[in-house]
Amino acid sequence: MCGQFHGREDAMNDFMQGLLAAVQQSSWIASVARQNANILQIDSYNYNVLVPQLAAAGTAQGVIQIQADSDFAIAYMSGAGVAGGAVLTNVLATIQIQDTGTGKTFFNQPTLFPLVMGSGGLPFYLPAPRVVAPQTSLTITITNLSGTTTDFYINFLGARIYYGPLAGQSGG
Amino acid sequence: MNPNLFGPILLDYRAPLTPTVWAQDTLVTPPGWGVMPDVDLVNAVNVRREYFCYSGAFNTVGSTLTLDGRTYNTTINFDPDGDFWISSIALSIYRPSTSLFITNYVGEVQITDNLANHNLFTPSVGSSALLANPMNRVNTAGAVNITNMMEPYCMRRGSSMTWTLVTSVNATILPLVFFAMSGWKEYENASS
Repeated sequence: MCGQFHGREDAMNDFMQGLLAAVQQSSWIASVARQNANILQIDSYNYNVLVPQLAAAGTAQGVIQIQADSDFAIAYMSGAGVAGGAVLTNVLATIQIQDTGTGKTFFNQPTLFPLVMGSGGLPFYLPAPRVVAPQTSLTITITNLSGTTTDFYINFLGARIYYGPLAGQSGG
Repeated sequence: MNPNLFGPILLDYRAPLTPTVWAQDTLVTPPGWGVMPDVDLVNAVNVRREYFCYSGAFNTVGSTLTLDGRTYNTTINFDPDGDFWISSIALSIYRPSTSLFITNYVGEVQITDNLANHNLFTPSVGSSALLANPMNRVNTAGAVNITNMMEPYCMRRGSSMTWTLVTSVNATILPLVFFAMSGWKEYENASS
């Protein structure tokens, strides 16, 4: 069963084989995996960016480069505003995120920061994953609606998904 | 690989799906995760779900709402590229005069699916029930910020939804009222 999906059962113990088989058949993976592709490994990973010293009423961007070796499936997003050395509990700002690989945005319009980025140490839990392709980037645009210059810390927690050739294919 | 990375997601993701959706599925028991739904592999390759959020506001910075019984409407137009399944609703109220998000009651909210001519609430719901601001993000029970739908609500691609707020009579607050609907878009794969 696992060999059917992965073709590398000799390199994994039973637990890893079972785990990959399970996630590959799951609804979650069905929404993140490439079609007709062979998942080799899934690792937890974070991408981060800082948009520093954004002045009151100002707009600025941060860019995250997605690494070339794996897809990135986002499961959680979190963000914090820091002003005067303190983490803000009332972040009045909007945020928009654009996947430059597809050109698609995460929100229909710039959206209130705490409604989609978590708060108080809790991340926002995406109800469905969002996959970003290798060698693309995420552009994060923040508009500070408050009257205070603020550092904005943005974090994406998810999984890097590594693919290999299908069984029977050569090359690597 | 960390199995816990996917465990909570799988279990949570299962919850909002309708029995109709899962009727085609079988159950498997992966290691350590208990029973969870497997997916119909035909559907799995034909449908792709992707996080998305539609948001809006009843007013903008610099134009606070007047709480005197007036009605405010704003319409969300849904993209034509995929149906949108609403998983959660969140409302956030900001008081510019104090620079704080607040939990004050500001009025009654109704959401109308304009294509189906269907209201999501009967009757309208008090704004406090939909609050999702940082002040009540974590309550004493450890609940998180958003109002999760018991079942996801599907908005057809290209349709529209109107949010209506009938403000309460309370002249002491001039708030900004934001809202967001998180969920996923469903796309059909072209190659299926």
